[in-house]
Amino acid sequence: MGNIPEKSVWALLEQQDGKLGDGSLELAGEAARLALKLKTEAIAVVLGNLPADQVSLLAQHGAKKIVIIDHPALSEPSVEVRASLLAALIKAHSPEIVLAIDSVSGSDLAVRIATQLNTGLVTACDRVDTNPEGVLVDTKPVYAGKAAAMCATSGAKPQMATVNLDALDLKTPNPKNTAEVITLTPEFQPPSARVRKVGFIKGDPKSIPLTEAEIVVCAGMGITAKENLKLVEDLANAIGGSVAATRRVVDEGWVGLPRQVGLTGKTVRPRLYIACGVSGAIQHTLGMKDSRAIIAVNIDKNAPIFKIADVAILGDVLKVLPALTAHLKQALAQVQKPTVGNVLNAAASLKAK
Amino acid sequence: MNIIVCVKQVPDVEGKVVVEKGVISISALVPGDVMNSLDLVALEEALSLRGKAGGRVTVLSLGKTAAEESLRRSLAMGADEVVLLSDAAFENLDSFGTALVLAKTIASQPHDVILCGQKADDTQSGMTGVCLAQILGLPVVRNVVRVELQKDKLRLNRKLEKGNREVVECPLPALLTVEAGETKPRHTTIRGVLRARKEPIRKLSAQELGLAPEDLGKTVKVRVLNITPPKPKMKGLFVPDSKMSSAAKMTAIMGGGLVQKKSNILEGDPEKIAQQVAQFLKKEKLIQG
Repeated sequence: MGNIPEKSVWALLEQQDGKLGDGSLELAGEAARLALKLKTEAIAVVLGNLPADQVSLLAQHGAKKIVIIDHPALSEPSVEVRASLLAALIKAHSPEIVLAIDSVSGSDLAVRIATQLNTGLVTACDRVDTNPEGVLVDTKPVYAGKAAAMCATSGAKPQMATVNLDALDLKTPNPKNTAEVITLTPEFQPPSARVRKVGFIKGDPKSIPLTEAEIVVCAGMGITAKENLKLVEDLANAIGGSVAATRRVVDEGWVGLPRQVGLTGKTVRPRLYIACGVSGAIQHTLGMKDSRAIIAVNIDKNAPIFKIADVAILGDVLKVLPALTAHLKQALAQVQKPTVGNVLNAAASLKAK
Repeated sequence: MNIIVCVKQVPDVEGKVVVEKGVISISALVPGDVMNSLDLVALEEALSLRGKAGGRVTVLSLGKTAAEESLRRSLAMGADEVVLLSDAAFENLDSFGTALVLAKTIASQPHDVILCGQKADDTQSGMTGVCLAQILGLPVVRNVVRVELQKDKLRLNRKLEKGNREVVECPLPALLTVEAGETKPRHTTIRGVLRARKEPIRKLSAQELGLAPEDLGKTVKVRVLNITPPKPKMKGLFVPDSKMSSAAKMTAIMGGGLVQKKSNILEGDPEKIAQQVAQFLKKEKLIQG
């Protein structure tokens, strides 16, 4: 295929029901950055048809060429089939670098492709870059995240890496950017799937294991009475979070033991942890300090939780929580995409205050 | 049913990890290496599968003599047989090389289900299981948190993001890589420990497996260039500070919001604070619709 140059940088993107997976725009941006360094082209490779709005979003975030793979075999949601299809495509077009997102499905795909192609893959990277020789150098957490390793693949092509969602930054979109869209239907007939999907169980934030929750809203003794737990639950429900509690709240019998966070409870590291009326005793913080972002609401200015909080709100939980719930609901109801316009609006609303 | 579990002995990552000049040192409560945490879960799945379907559980480990430790623990938990794959040629192999050695061992014996931990605590790579399945030509299911045997096939729950589960069916023989979920590894019993002490451990070398050291050397696909302390935790999120002037806030937001945080405490009107925090959370994509 003439219009897919060899030695390019590919970003493998997945979509569901016409919507690109989390981190897709960011990964397309990463591929564009590496391609610029290697003086080659970045190609966003998407499995299955993509609606025009998603195509234009990709373009705005730096994708100059979008390859949409259209194949009858893709109607079945099988990672085996998708991996064989992509492996064949990679063989045919010899990209220099292939990136994927380190989500459950993204890493599943990448690992299978790398083993089929017998090429090097560094998984779960926090940083990908190229050195002056054009070798992909990846930095990834090792030893349970207590150290970082700088790795390089050795010789085999393409050089592959999966990038952690947390490590990807969204670049400022340029609304003027456009992309060339190539729809490909590979002649390759992938082997039929041996593993079949037979069901899906949606996780309810109210009942999923706390360790798998993306957002945890934790009640501390600051809520003062069992009735006020409702405020914590309301906040959790508004943002799809799971309710947790400190040991004392569990001891009071307000919340069940499986929801306890801390030394004698669960250790969690969600994307967002909201501590409501939690003082932050070491027994508790040991179980949540590695959360990506911590917001603490407390009435005591010297509460130790404020030392590890990214956002510290000094105030009465019983007053702050309802306000927070209302404003979070409002913020979520607004347009989702962080565009320049949205940021300007946010700035304007701050200015108005 | 013949069940095979592949385990790895790793440094105890629960200990204190110090990185100095590219060298890692770990001081754990109990010195010495331990069995990889997810491999323990894989072994548990194997033992409970044997409990229902009968058969044998064979545990393989590739490593130095110290890896006997994990194999003895496997015996103490109830494994029927253990094999240590040990050879100077097996050192410094990456996932591809390790999988090649494991595949050579497994190909010559009956196998219905092969279980591996999804990833090792030390390298956190998560590739060996899939490589192994590829070499053996077996279907592979990753992120498995629940195994159920149904006549001639397996029904498996896969752990996805946000507490979601995908249910899949897979024919036998198959390879599964196991994630942390509801399954907790059983404890060893005193009888098991006593038995494990006496049981001989079968050892296999590269030559016995028919592997030439020079072939193994060629499989290395990933090199580690350097080891450093971990990336610092994301700190210094931009927090709208009520004391800032409007112009400063504007610059901060437009500039990507990278004003350093000096743990400034937001106080005042709950409504105003709530609004600021809500906008901030949304912008940082910490909440999503």
